[in-house]
Amino acid sequence: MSGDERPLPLEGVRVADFSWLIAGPATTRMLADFGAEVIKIESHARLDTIRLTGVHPTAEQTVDSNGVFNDCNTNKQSVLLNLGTPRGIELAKEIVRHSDIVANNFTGDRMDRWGLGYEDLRAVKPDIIMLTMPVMGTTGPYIRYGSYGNGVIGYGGMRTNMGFPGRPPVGMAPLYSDFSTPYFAVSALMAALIHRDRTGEGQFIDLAQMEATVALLGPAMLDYTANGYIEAPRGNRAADAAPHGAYPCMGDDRWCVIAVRTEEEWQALCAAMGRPDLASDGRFATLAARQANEDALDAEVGAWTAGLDAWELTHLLQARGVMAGVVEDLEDMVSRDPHLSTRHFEGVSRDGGPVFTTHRQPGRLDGESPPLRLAPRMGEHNEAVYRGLLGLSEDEVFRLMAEGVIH
Amino acid sequence: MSGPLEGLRVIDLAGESGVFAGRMLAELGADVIRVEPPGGDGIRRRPPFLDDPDHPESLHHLHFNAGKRGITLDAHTPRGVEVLRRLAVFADIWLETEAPGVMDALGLGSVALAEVNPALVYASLTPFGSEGPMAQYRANDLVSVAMSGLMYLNGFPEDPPIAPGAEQAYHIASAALVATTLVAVAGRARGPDRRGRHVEVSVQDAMAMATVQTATANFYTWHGRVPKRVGFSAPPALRNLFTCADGLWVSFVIPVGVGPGWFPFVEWVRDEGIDTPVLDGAYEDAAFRASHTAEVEAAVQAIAARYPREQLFHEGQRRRILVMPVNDINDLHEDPQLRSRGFWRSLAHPSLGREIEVPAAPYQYSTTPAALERCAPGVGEHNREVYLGLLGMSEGELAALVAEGVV
Repeated sequence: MSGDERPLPLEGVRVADFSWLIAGPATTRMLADFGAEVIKIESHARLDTIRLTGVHPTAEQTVDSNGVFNDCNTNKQSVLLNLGTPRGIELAKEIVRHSDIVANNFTGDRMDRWGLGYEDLRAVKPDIIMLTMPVMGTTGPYIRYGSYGNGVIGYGGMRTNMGFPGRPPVGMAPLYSDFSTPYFAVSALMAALIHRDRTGEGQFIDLAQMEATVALLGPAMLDYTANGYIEAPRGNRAADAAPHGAYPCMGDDRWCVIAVRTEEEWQALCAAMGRPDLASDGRFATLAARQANEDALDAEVGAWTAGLDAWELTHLLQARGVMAGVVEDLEDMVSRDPHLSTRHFEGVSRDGGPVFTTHRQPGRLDGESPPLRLAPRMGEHNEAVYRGLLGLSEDEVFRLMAEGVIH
Repeated sequence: MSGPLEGLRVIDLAGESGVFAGRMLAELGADVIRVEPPGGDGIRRRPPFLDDPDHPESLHHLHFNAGKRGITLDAHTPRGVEVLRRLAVFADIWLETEAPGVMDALGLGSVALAEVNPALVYASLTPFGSEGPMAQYRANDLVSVAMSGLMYLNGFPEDPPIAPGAEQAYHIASAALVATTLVAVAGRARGPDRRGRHVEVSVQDAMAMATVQTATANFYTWHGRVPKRVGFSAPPALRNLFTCADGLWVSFVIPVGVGPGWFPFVEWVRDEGIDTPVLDGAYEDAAFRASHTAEVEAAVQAIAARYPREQLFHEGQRRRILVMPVNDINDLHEDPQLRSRGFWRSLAHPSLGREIEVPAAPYQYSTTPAALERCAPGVGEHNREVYLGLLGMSEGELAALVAEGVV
């Protein structure tokens, strides 16, 4: 591919974004980063609480100063619109009339009760693509049930399928489903857009965050449906590798993972350890033998790693062809990892204000990450959208603000 | 095939890190042709296996290759490369997970294939990206979850960090690859030409993006804070997991900060007649609650201990409190919500002479329902269909390739 300037792939696609919290906004952020014009529709009357909950640069917390909010909303526009008013609903439909995609992650039938359900929106924009992504989806006996990501993880099976033997089902770090689901949601939306481009047909997409979590459980699902078997969690150990685990390194709470699958890798690890005796030790001669003596194996490896720096150990083992890596904490990610610290993060700011550090999209196109612009201030684009896109007069916008519609 | 991507063709050369990507595209209706070396690839040898002495097939293969067609081809022979270049002409998407430079060296890199098919979207998944000092480092899922920051946050503070179940880095990276690839496919229709792009995702970036939404980089860049493993605690709740009367677990969210949930919770405590200090009016102040977490947790545990898991789940949700069961796979298999939405689907497996129950796509489309239509292919099952039908080879040409060991 040549390196000449090309437009971002989604330039010309407009998104009416009713989503809030994390999973929905992270979905539409990906569209915005790749060039879509995403209009975040929000209101002081129903604050997107992620504008506050998170981390702020100073003690003074405003709706425009949260780092977590920025992570989910770069490159978007923001308009104020109070959906608790009839005129607010009308204006929402006007924005939809000019849009290709509508996104929301409210629970159950919230959009329908506003009169903004798929049939309502299709009436104003026949080929609209509408994504709704409640925790439980829009059908079924639990349609009105709600949860944050930490509950979705447990419901979806991501707590019982991991952990050290005999320990409670602590599961994945909080909110995992809030960031796994967006990749499914963007895939679903893009597939619908590709279909619309070819046929002119829009459609409704019902994405249950809970199902998008179950979808990550892998072959263990078939182990149950076909074999009737549920494998107990085995800590960091694996069926096809040994050693396979996190080993303590020099310092406080420092760890390095090591994964050995093949005979060559095992010999290379023993050589790195300076332990030819282990390489010829019958207890560790084959994968099966190493697994049968895994406690002894882990003790030998852990005794060696404990005196080493986690990063030096990673580089040492990788240079010898052994899969290994630092169990990175946030400081590693931001300041020590030679890849993440330089290619993953980007600082964005506005008008000499504080620098917000956020991740770039993990997907690159022809070697480039799309440019990032700070998440919008609340209502920053009222003028551009209401006057520019919808063509309202200055007087009318002023009146709508006074009436609490643009609020 | 049906689904929104009907008519799109995918050549799937992905190894274990990206094999889920082709499965997602097949669910969406694409014609995914999986290319394996003669005799089948390593996915077919990964445990666990089908508990059937006559057909001990890998459940990795049955799960991740469901919905795909399968052909054999030795890509490391000149004739194999030539056949792959002919296949590229008929493809919309090319999926590969080789180490950086390998495909280029074979003459199958993104630049070479753009010459035979300028519209091709070429999707590459690598452990650490194609540039940088660690670009040639190897990683399995364990190394990727460690070096993306997520593993450090999993587990109890007193235990070592713990890897997620079910190879989450592979899943997330595959889903990110699909999302970005479909962004590029959608972009073909709206650019000045129909040219494809080279999509690159690093497993580390995809998974790190998932981490920083929980532990946003700004904690560190603004305040020098490095989030640690928190065990059962999970913002915005206190302790998040509790045991029920039947010994099973629920996730039970009680906000300590701003947000809904406190007053319905107090009402529940009162209805149960539980003697607890949290009934005191002082607890209506969020900051007070935040400094008296032990009392609040004790009140939640007192409620949880009175109900079996299922009852606690429904009673909590009825009261608008975010209670969710901690499910295992057998719970999910019987789950009324998943059943009602048709999540579990049976696919006939002709060579096994039985049906295999698999999870459906986690999205429901109103116009173009997404559904898998076939089980994972046997080794070379679709060689004749693809080589004779799609590529238009003669019987003699195919026979020669078979004789040479290329097919």
